[in-house]
This record gives sequence, structure tokens and C-alpha cells, in this order.
Amino acid sequence: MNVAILGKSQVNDLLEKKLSEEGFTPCRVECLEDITGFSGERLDYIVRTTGQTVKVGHVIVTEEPVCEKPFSNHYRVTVGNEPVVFILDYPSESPAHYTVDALENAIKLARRRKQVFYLSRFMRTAGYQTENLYKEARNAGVTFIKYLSLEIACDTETGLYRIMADDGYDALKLESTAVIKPESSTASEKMDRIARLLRLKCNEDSSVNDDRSFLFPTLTSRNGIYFIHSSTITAETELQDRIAFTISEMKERTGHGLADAAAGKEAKGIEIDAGKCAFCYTCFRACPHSAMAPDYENSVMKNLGNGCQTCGICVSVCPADAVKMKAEKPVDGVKAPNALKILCCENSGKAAAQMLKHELAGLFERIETVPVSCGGEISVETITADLKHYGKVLVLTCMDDACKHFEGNKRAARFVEKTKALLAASGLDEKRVECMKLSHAMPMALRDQILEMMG
Amino acid sequence: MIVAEQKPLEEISKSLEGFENIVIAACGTCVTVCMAGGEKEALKLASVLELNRAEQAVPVKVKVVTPKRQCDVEFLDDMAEEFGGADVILSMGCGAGVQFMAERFRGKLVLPGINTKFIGVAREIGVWTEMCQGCGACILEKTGGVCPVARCSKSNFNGPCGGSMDGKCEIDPNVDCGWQLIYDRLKELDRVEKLYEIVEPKDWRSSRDGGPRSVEKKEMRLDTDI
Repeated sequence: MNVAILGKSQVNDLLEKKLSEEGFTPCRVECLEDITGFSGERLDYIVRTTGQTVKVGHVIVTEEPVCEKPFSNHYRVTVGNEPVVFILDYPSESPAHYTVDALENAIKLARRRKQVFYLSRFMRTAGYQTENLYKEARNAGVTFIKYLSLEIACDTETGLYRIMADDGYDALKLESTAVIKPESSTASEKMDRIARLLRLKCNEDSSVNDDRSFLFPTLTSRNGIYFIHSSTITAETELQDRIAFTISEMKERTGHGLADAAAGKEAKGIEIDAGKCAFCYTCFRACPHSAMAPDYENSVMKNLGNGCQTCGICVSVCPADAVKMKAEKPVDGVKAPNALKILCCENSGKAAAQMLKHELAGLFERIETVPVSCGGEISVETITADLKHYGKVLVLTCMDDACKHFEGNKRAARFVEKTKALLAASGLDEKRVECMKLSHAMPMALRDQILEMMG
Repeated sequence: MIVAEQKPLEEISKSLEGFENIVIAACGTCVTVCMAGGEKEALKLASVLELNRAEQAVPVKVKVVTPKRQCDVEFLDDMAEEFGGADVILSMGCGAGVQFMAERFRGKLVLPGINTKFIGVAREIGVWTEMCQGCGACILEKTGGVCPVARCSKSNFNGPCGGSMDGKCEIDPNVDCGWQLIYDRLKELDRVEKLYEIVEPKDWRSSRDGGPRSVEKKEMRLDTDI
């Protein structure tokens, strides 16, 4: 199968070699004119470049974004004994390369016996390099503050910043001229064009979001399209890991549907009501496993057997209520109006809830636990339907970045927020539904949540 | 596609006050795709209404039906039985659907559940933007396939106004300047010279300004001699 490598990069040689070794036919595209097609059953992309048109199954983008090391130019200017303050004011995770750069510079300064503060609104939890860098920075004496609110006033004459960071418990006041914030980085025009043509999600600073999850480092928001950038990779082994991961994903995604159709296999977990399907492509766009494909003959979507991991995301997003899970959910507990229904992701919440059954045996008489494949399976409609029969509903999903189905946990959290808003608008108690992100090893946190909800 | 948005829950609840037997009629086409009035939205609304009434100890029976379209009468005929015992029908169809339901079921009160917004496209899941205003006389061939009527806030025909800044419109920094888009597109197609052709003042009678419109395709009619 052909694989397009888009862009100029130093990783191209190694990537090309590895792809050839694994039986793929790589073709380099440095000057992209257009690209069309879709992922799904056929994984077909038509890549048009100056002078040629190539049909490929997968696209690996290696074009390097233009991103300066935003912090490196600043730290040398700091003088005297005043503290050095790094500010990463991002509402969600800061871009990986910013975080790495900020941490590296914070470590350097702290080792020079500078007092270093690292203020961030959202703590980047995990990722390549960052775990070790956090550890190193803490050992070097960097003070980390995760704030809820931040006020900065700058005296333009002296260049002195007065900073007040509040983490909800304490307010920290700092005065310094050495305040280091990232300048906005701009993706190159070429990258921008690739992102637009491929309809890829971009970050706030318009760089392509190539940091989907630390578990799936090279996947993008579209199936069959991968990113391998050397700018965020320092060790050779990481690059090799990413290439190996990408190739294994490509192999897994190649020919799912075709192989199944040839074997006469039916889709396993999902059924689609052809009468209701509006052929709107919502499930196709949302499916994280390339397991939905258009059936043009019948003007409906179809589910592809092997590709489908029955995560249920298609079920929750379908606006026509046309997609259903085939299997009945095992129900555990007693249905009652004063009861709590816990919808547990089978990868995290289910195990955590199981561990509490003995300890909270009395309470579990009023708790019904229902395992779901992924938090992404749960929709506003299912939660509101449950609230008709249960006093409260608790949704348990995986931690950020740990969702096996990429963003099912985030979707569940958004749907819970939407449900809360509907309840509030309807004059009902919005605390009747809660969402908790946890790992299987967090039964104690779950116990606190259950006790709070059960009064 | 027609793009719509569900009415605020407070407004819907208020309009349904005093009715016990409610039928929510979703619509299985445009408003399903734009996630405003499809079956999923209707089921969600039904649950919330039931929860709300239960809290107030006011009895209610809510039924959800979903014709494929509310703008073709045969689909409505199929629904007639479902509406039999209804005190009120909440139509989740577009404005056309609500009115057509009201025409078809004359004895029933038909209320709107959504606000019809525009003719547009799905940019991504959950994001729709306006592309066409149905003005009745398309000039997209002159403007590189970008509509100045729908995508310029002032519907200018011969270039941007002074409120265009960095490619954005003065009404909102998130709204693209329609004329910047037209210029960029024509430049991309190497047809910028098209902009030297002055577009004459538009005859707006083909649009809403000419009053309620209709389209007739005579050769298709069953009872008309051509």
C-alpha cells in the first residue's frame, strides 16, 4: 500500500526506510497541490502534487512547524536576585514544545541558584520528556504553582511586573522584571495549507495539534493521517518508537472492512437503523477507529467489523438515534428513585467501583453500576432518561490522555456539563449528575464522590 | 441544508404549560443533521420535560415521533394516528415544517421547538455556518464561489466596506470579511480581474423583498395543461 510522506524533514530518510521494510510503498510529496479522499473502509487519499497524482492509503505529515524556542531568548536577560517567573497561561494543556522549552530553561536557571517560579493554569500531566523534566525541575528547586486566577500589572517605565497568582487556597505575590511568557508561534504557511486541506484540528496558536495523546503520539484528528515531527523529539529512540507505533497503527487500520466483507463477517457490536440514518457523516467523523464507512448503494452508514472496538461513540453522537449497541448492558443493583446510577467506563471506573463494593456494601444496595465500553458512549439523552428512574447519575471515565478511544472521556464530561445546564434551565438540581475522571486505582477518590452524592 | 437551533428550554417549557398530552414531532432530515430537532434531541427534550413536571408533581405524557420530513404531506399523513390524543404538538421541524404541520392538523395546536437560522454547511461536528440567503438570483460566478449576499455583513456587491480589518469583519472578530474571502479566492484562481466588472444594483424582488415566493415547475404538475 502506498503511503505519502508530506513535507521536508530530517526524519524522512529513516521513515522511508522503515516503511519499505514493513512492506509499504512510501512516496515523498514535498510540494502538495491538493489532497482529497476520506478514511474509513477504503483509506483512500488522492494526493496531487506538481506533475503527478498518487493514490495512497495513509498520509504521514513530517513538515516541521516553524516554532521558535520561545523561552530560550529570554532567560539570559535576567539579572540580580529577583525571582524568574515562567507563565504558561493556557486554559488546557500547553503545547508540548513550549512546555519542554520552559522546563529546560527553568532547570538551567534554578541550577544557577536563581529563584524560579513556574506558574501555569493547567498542569500538563504527561508526555514525552515532560515527566522527567518535572522531576528534574523539582529537584533543582523550581517552585510550581497551578493557579486558578492570575493578575499581572506591568510598570512600563521600570519593566517591573507585579503578579498575583491565586490557587484557590492562597494568593502568591511576586515582583520581578524577569517574567517569561511564550510569544505566539506561527505555523509555516505550508503547514497551514496542509492542515486546511486535510481538515486537521489546530491549536489556539494555529499550529497543528500533533499532540493528541501520549498513548497515541502520532495520530491526528483524522483517521489515516499521522504526524511525525522531529522538533518535539530529542532522543533517537523516541523517533524510532513513534515510527514503529505509526506503522503498527497503519497495519491495524489497513483493510479492516474489506477483509471482513471477504470473510462474510458481520459487524459485531453496533447496529444501524437504515430507516433512521440521515447519512449525515457525524458517526464517520467522530469514530476514533475508522470503523464507519458510507454505503452509497443504500445511502446509509455502515459499521466495519474488525475496525470497530464498540466504544459506542457513534451511538452517542448520532443525531437520528439510528446507531445502537447490540449487546444488552449487564445491570448490577436495584433500580429505585432514591438510587444512584453509576455509568462506569470499563477501563477505569468499573474496577474502581468494584473495589468499593465490600466497603460500601450498605450504600451499594442503592447503587446500580452499569459498565460502558467508554465514557464516549454516554449522551445527554441517555443521562436524562436515567434521571427519570434514579435520583442521581454518576459518570466515571478515564483520566485525560488515558482514554483508549482518544477523547471519549472528554466527550462524556462535556455531555455531563450540557445535562447540568439543561437541569438548571429546567429548575432542577444540577448536582443530580456528576462526571468524574479517574483511573482504576483510585477507589478512595470514588468513595468520596459517592459519599458526597449519596449524602 | 437548513440550519436551526433548539429554543431555550425555559421558552419551550413555558409554551407547553397547562398541556398534559404532548407529542414532540422531530424531523428526520435537515434539523437532524444540524442536531437541533432530530430524534435524539426530541428524546432528550422529552426526558427533561418529564423530569421537570415530576418535580412539580404535574402530570404529563410525552410521546416522540419522527417523520422523515415535515415538509412533505405524505410523511405527515403517516403520523396522523400518533397525534390523535395530543393536546399539543411541539414541532422540532424548521419554520416550514411547523407551518405545514399546522396546515395538515388544523384541529391541533402546533408549537415551534426550534429557531430556524439559515441555509448553511457543516464545518465540523457541531459547527455550521451560513452560506446562502436564498436571494433568488445567484451571482456566485462573479465572486469566485463566495456569496457576497450571505457572507458580507452588508451584502456589498463591489468590494469591502471600511470595516474590513485583517481579513475580519467589523461586526465580530470571529467573522471573516466576505470580500476578503472573495479576493483571496479569485487570486487563488488567477481571476482577480473579475473584480473590475462592476455589479449593477441588484433587483431584490427575487429575494424576500418581492413578498412570499413560490416556484412552479409546470411540466411536473399533474393537473395543469401546458
